Amino acid sequence: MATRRKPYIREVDGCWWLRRPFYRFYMLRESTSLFAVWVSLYLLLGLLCPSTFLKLLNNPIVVLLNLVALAAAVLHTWTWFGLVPKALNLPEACLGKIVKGLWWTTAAVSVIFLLLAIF
Amino acid sequence: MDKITVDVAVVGAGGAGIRAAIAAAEQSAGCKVALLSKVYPMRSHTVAAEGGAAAVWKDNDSTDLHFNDTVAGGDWLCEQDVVEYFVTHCREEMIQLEQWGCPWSRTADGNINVRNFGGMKVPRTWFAADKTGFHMLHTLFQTCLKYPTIQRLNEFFVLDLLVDDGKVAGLVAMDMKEGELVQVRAKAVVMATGGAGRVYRYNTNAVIVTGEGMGIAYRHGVALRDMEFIQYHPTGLPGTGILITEASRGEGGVMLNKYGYRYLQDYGMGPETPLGQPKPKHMELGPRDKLSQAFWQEAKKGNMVRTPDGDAAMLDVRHLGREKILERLPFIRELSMFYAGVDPIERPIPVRPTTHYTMGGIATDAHCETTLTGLFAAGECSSVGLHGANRLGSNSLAEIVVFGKVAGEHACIRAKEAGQAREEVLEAQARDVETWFNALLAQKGPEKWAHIRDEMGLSMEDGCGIYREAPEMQRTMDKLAELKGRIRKVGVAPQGNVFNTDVLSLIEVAHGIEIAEAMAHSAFNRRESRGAHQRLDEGCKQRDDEKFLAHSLAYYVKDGPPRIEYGPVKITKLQPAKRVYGAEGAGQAKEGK
Amino acid sequence: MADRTMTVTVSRYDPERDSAPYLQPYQVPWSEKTVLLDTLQYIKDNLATDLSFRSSCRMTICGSCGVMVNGEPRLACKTIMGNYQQGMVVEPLAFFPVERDLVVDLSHFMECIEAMKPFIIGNNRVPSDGPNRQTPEQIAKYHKFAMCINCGLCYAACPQFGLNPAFLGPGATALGHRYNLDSRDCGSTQRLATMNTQDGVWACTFVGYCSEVCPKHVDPAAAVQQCKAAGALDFVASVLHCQKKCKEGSHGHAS
Repeated sequence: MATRRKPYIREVDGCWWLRRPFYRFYMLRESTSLFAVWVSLYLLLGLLCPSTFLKLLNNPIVVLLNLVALAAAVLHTWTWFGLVPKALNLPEACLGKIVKGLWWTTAAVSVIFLLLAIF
Repeated sequence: MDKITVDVAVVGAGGAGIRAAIAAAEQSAGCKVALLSKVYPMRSHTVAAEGGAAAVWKDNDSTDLHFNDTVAGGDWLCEQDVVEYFVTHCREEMIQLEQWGCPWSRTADGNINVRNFGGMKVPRTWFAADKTGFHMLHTLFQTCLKYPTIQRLNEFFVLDLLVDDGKVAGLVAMDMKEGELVQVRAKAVVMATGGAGRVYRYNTNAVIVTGEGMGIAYRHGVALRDMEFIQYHPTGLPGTGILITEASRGEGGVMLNKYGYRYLQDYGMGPETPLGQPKPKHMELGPRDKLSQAFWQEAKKGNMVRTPDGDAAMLDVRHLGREKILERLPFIRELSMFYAGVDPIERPIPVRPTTHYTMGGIATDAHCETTLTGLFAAGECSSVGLHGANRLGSNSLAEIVVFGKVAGEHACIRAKEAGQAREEVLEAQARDVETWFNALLAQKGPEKWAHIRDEMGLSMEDGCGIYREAPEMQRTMDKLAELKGRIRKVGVAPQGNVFNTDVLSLIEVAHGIEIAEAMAHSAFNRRESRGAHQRLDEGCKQRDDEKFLAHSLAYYVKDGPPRIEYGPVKITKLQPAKRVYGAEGAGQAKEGK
Repeated sequence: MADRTMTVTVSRYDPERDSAPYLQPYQVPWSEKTVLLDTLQYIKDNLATDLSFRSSCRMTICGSCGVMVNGEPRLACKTIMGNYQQGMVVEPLAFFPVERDLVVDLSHFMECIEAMKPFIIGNNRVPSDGPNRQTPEQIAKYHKFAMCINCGLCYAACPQFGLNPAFLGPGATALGHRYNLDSRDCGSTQRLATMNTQDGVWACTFVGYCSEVCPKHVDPAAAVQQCKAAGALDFVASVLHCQKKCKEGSHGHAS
């Protein structure tokens, strides 16, 4: 076939995610996984070498890392609860209730674990 | 020039075109079909239809009643054998669409739901909320993907037909993406290019509704029939002309003047029906021509609301309540809020009549074939004789599938019978098209097609509007003759051929002027008032069955105004009678029984 | 249009004359009601007749006029000029190849739509049998996904499509899912086979911007996630040889 086409292809570079707030937030959401890795490794340390685990707990850097990991976990939970109901094809009216239910469950489980840890 | 060879070429991929392509493909497994469109199929104007599609469904309804409504609605200018075929085949087509996946609105138990529409005695309008055309078009488009013998040629702009010995043998099109001309050799061609509402300035139509299909057939000597009958939809948004569906009245919406008075009762549509209890063929459920005429009269009395975009009536649906509006009219709400800044749940919508539909078109027989052997037409571009002088709302969405199918089947049959066209004749014609097109690309001059388009649109509003008078029509005819000269002086910017919409717009406007001429001259010569053609000059204010119970036929004349002739109207079982609505209509119906 | 004017910068590219797209500013009038599509038409009518863009219905239902407005995918007919007085840059939809000016190549999107077999499969009813019975609740299951106007904004919002041009993408998936959820259809196994692949739904990382920009609130991101779930279940079922059979007789007569 005869053609006069010359389609112009715009290459996508590595900085694509910097260009829109939505993409930046997406990258932030995804980067919370790095802190999940940190917590997992640290818990593994607790299993293998409990004394080092306890000693390091008071280290200011570890405290800081754990605080950031907590914030990341909360952020991830929040986005996760917003997105999970999408994977279920439910009537719009139910969605709000499901997200609320998920939060209450998370809160209850957290409190139970906290109480178990304290006592 | 590249060549594509098929049996049937369908021009236009709206509802009628796709239905024709499917019918041709189903008619015979060996029938190769090309489906050409200047836009992607789902951009076709069928997508914008809102209210619904007519088909007898309820127990208290009958095809006879649908027949009577259609013929009386068309002010007896309908081909009654065609109407008979239509009303008996609508239901089958609606069910076919359902089985292809169309999400028709249902009753709680899962049955088909139907709604009231203007000029229809019984609720028989099948609907998918207020996006019926959208769902029909997408269902048809998606279904056509099932057929391997249908080759879709998206964004192909058809320039001309190839004809040998009085028989259609194909066409020449611009492949817009490749920027190259292509011949499509076909033994039958179906025109399904939609109406020509864009020759008016204010209209409900998509910008693509420019009527080239009509223009191409017209230049090949096929008559354009009943072109003076242009439907003004009574409820478009002022300024933009965006359509507010008749279903908003079918569901119970009312029309108010600036005093909050339901003025339609003063124009033969009364008595006033109670709020929330719409009555078929009364008040707001009168036919579109009568409602638009009532608006014009009421505006002349100074009773309409003044807006920056001209006079407006108020369409009030508030009493339907939030829930019903969100269920049945969600798109209307979206459109009014965005384009008029009015939430119809809280305030009435300002509306005014705007050009909506071309009742006339390419003259065809009952099999959708034209006088040019092998050329078929279906849908709004055609005049198969269904709508007469005024179309009833929801008959056109039914028409596109019923007659799209007829056109596709008969085109396939015609293609089988056709002999071989002479190669050298077709090649010579294709070269002529190429020469003409190249000349257009190089055309220089001070004029702009956009300005000519706007002057044409305003002139058509003045001369061929809701009410017409000889001096205004004459001025419009003169203006169109002038524009025909000026369009040859339009300059085309130097540019590449890929998506050169500059030259294609010029071609659209050039066709538009010729179609507008057919409309204006047909209107001028019809010295009576019938349906959507209403005259104010002496001696023309009444319907004149003696002289004008006839189809007007506009024939193309090179370098001159069209030649207007008249043809007979087929009347089978419903003799012409006075066309009345409201209480008078109900009285007439009772007497008839 | 009214007396006020503003500057609109439009991306221009003629493949037969230019090596790459460039930005061209235009001075245009505007009023409260002016939408970007009016402005583009104004430019074509008065300032640059050789400007190319797609448009049709001008009422947000045909899906023709998608463009990038200050980097965000939008329908031109649904973009109010008054909201961009600080300046506006109009470019062709992101991630698609540019054919000319604001016109992009949609052929990949169309091929994906075809690949989804978006039609009723495995239902042998004919018109003389009457319509299928389908309750409003059954319609509600798929209705949202049937509202897609194929405008392509979701593809222009999807960085995964940008990085992997073979990706099936949000819009086509939503359409396939619409038929999978339709009680009249029996073709989900065929469609899931196409979806359940590397370039199918699993290329999606749930950025979610597609649903954000969808002018018809179709929520294609939700469709993709639901298809991931359905695809995973279908895979497990196929391993266990217990795939659900579509019942032929389940489309009750409704007259």
